[in-house]
Amino acid sequence: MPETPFSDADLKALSANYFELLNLPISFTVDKKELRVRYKALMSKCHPDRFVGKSDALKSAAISATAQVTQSYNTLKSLPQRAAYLLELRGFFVNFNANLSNDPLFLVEQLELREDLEQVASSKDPDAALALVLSRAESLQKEQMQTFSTYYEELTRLNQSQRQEELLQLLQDSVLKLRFLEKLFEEINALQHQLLDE
Amino acid sequence: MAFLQIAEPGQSTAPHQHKRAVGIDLGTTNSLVATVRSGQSEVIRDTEGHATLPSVVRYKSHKELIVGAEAAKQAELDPENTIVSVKRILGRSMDELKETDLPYVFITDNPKAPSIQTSGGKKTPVEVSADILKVLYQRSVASLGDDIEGAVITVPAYFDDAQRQATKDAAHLAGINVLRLLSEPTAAAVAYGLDKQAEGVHVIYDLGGGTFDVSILLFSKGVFEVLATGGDTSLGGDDFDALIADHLHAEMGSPTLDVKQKRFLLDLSRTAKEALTTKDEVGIEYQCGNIQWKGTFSVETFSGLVLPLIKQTLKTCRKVLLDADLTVDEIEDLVLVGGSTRSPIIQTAVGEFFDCKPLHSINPDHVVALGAALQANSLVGNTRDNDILLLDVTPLSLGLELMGGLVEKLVPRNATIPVARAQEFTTYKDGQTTLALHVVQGERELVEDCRSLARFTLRGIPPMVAGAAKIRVSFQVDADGLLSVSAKELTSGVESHIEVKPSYGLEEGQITQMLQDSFDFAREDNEKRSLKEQQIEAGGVLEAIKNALDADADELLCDREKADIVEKINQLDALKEGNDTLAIKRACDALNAATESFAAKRMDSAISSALSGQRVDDL
Repeated sequence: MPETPFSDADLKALSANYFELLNLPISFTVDKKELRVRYKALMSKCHPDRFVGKSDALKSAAISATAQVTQSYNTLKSLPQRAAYLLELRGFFVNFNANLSNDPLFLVEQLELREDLEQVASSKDPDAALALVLSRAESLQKEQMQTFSTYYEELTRLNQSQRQEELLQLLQDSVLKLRFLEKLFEEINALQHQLLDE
Repeated sequence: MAFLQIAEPGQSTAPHQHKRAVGIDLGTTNSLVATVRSGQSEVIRDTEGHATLPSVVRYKSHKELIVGAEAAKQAELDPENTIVSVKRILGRSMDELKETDLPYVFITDNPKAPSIQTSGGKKTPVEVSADILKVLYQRSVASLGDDIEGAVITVPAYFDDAQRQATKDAAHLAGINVLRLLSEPTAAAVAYGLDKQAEGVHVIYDLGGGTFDVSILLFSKGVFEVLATGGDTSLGGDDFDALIADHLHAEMGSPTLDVKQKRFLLDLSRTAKEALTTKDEVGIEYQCGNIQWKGTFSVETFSGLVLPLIKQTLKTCRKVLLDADLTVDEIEDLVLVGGSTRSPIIQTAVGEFFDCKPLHSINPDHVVALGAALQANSLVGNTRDNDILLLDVTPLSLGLELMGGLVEKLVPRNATIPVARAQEFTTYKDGQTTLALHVVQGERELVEDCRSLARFTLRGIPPMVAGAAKIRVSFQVDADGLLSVSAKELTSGVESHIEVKPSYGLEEGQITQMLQDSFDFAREDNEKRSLKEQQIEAGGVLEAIKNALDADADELLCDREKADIVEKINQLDALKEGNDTLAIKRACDALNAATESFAAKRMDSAISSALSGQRVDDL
């Protein structure tokens, strides 16, 4: 049997789902602070630094365990990834390459926001212009989190496949929108860097 | 919870025995080594009492090499054979070195790992670094005895995979057991005992002779994390000296100076700068060759000269705060590292910016090595209670090249390590039995703009239709930031694995440049990306339709239908290599529309042939 630093219970936890591994309830709402605290507690125990001078088998088991803990943490930290993972746990895999099914309004809004973002640098008061885009993006994100929560709630309450098909489509769209917004935040950050350079 | 009650089988709880371990700061300008003795971290000095070892090696002959202060003195006499600042070229390829104006003669028989021609023979940057490490290690052995368990070696937070690997290789070559590579800012934080506080966010501002780095660390629940890091590799105390020299030269009436006189002026400038750490004004006496001059140099003048440079560093601080998503008032402590932070002007400016009283009580040239020694001591098990944990992040995203030169990022920038990520890929062509994998790092969307790390090929994939094979590619980055990649075809179990040990990497300046580019070009990239995607789609559609035509056209299509499809194929063929994304998309859509009924007919015919020979009852 290969040498392992972990008990059977540990190994079971490592193969459990990300929420269980981090000892959090399976829910779209995650207490960020709690998530971080639990992540660190696990890392403190299984990081390879705790196995300096031990056998290679132990070290490599520690690396795999740490990687699994990090993966769980990163997934739950990101809104779209967390949302997609919740659906995955219910056997539905989000297709991130799919197009938004039917929400021209959202897309138009996204285009507008990106156009506004492009004009920030050349506007009279770039900081204020940027703050405006940022607050709109934030409120859209809040709205979208609410949307996902509502549909997800309904999905978990569903006892048969009444509206399942339709709900899953709505949920997938919601995940895609959350990701749209995540990318928008990345672009905002990049612009903030640029503004500092000028 | 039950998770992780780690106990190694057979682990003894024998009485605690103190083990020897050292921390090494392998610096650009100076290197040094430290250890923990009776609970205190202290630098190990050479027989003459010097703590720092200039990172300079002179190869005089095959038998004779000189390391340290003596070599530094001889650098001007014998620049070709005297290697200074080897850290700047460690882990870099010839292509990258071409752009620098170093005096060395490079040998490029291996362009990925160039070496320097010296009177002592061919020397790679790894070997030069190893020669520096050997001197430090001998010093440790002389002081501690030869039962040293190993060393923690510090690297800048922005060091990439190649640079970390090269550092580790140099240590191995010097016969040192590396316990861990540790990021320099984390080492400094440990030296100040910031881990003894409950929780907090700390800024480490490191201004050395030629480089500037700033990192934000979060310490909580016994874990140190690097939240964000940034810097400028061509900004440091040397630039301050140059500014002072320019100023004094102008004061002197801009006489023409020879090399020796310029050197003298620079040395004088540095001395003046150092004197101003304790005085408000210093007298300057220049006497070299035929030139004599007397004057004064004040703190105000100095301050006016260097303020633009200091502002530049503060701009970087702002960016790093932004990346960490923090504001100044969330910063608990400010730690100053690097000789240039001795200057009160810098202490004041940086302190005001972060609204903190800066910590600078530990010698800023020693602090990194002292912290590394503490961590080494803890890693070998000399400290019993509540060891702290130091987590590093990846400085650049790691990804794979996809069809058409696009990059799929598997591990994002600033991801905590160790980390592992896997993703499934598939084949693009029918019957494809090999898959070439190209591992890259960088933030841009196109391969040509990222740094190539490694290539390897997965062979023996059983022939299947395009898209049927499932190839899982896994990236694993260990605690030292080193990457290994494996690929496995899931239906057949065929496997291939590579340790990514590139013999070169990115220079810190290029990381900054690449990051900057990725922001500047994000939009252009998106456009390029959608063009590439459209081109790939066009290629796929064309191939599928051509195959279908070859197989079934004669049976299922009349001449007019066939001619129409061929015409659309030709139109798309003509457009697909161009750069009009929209035109390609339109041609693609037109071809799809033209083949709709053909596709339906093929489906019908496939079904009827499948059903032929079966009775209705069987269905």
